[in-house]
Amino acid sequence: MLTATMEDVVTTNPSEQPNSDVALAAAGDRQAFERVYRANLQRVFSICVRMCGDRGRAEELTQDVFVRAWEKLPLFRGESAFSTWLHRLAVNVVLNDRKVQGRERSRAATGDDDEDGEELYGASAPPSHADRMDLEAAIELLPPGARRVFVLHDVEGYRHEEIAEMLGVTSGGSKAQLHRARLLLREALNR
Amino acid sequence: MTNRPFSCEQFDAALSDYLENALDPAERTALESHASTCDRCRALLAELSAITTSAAALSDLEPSHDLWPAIAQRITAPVVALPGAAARRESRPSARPWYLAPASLAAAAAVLIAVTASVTTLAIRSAHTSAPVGVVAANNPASATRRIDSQIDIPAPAPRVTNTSATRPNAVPVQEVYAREIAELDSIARDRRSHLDTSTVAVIEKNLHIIDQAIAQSRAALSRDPNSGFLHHQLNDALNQKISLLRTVALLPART
Repeated sequence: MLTATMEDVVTTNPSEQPNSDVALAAAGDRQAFERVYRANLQRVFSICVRMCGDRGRAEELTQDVFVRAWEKLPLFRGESAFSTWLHRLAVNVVLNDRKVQGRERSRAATGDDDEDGEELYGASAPPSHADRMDLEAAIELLPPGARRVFVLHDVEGYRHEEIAEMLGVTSGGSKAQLHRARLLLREALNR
Repeated sequence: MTNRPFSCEQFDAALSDYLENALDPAERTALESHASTCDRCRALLAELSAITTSAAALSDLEPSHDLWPAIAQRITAPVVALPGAAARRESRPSARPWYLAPASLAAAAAVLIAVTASVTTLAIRSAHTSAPVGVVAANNPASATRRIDSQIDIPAPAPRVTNTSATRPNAVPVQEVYAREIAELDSIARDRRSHLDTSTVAVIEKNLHIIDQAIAQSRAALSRDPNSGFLHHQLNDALNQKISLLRTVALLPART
């Protein structure tokens, strides 16, 4: 049964996940949490895949996001909308994964992680499609640092100050990466 | 800032701020004036504007398969069911699931203690004496315990967490309850090991080491994230496994 206390932890917003599902999930109801998962899956997966640039890894990270959400839901107090809370959680999971995996990741393979080189799309294969590349594919091929800033700012709508805090860079650095990402995308889309 | 149209270099330098509406009106006018007369810069402005607009309108993506089964498996953790838990859930003051509340965890551990210790003691007695355990225990539990101790040299059990304390779970911190139970069973198991085959002892030691590692890892993770329900479950699972293994050791027959 839903208690008055649990009802208090979520905000009332018709466009949000039904309050009862979030509250029930916070109280340990796995069926309610599955409904929360299904309602938010695509959004969370989209963040993960665009941030990390690898669909397989993004599926693993999406699992991590929902497991983490299950653990943290009892602490969700409704100061923000649930979708905002979950969205930020997803970003944090991806960024933490970057920190953990950073050393093993593509430094040897591509030579560019946070400190992206000047070469367009690093050393990864340049777009060679006969047809014009779509924006989604072009984002995936961006160097990691530029991709993260572009996704957070232009796709997800975060401000440079927020991005700087998340990524541990300066606001000016975030702006510079964003502009570079846009120029790289333009080049890819015009090939 | 001048109101004269920008040069291409000025245009490039200001373009990023323009796209984010970070230019003052005079600068915006100057940049737009330049773009209206320069094919290269007009195209650049149009294309970057289109990219930002398209990015904000990207559709959500779908994973290649349903991720729920794997997630469900990961979030499923054994929970000690307690009578009357629903009633406590109704009245609890916080949003924490009832089974993670300190009172419930302590109560669960108290029940576990009472059941595990009693069962262990009686089972050991059953395995190593010919007396009808149930009758003796029912008639005189205190004397039964003393007889067990004298016949198979089991150390005197530590004070039990009784039903009374189970109804006042906050009086016994859950980790202390586990530690006391494990210490008692470990003492019994250590004594039993001298009666066991060395290869059996080796297997026991190996498994205890693995469980101890899991306990240590869970505690280390909890020190960094003390509010994680998942980690609390993991720690309690590992502690329960250790109790179960020690109890099994205590009940193993001596080597022949």
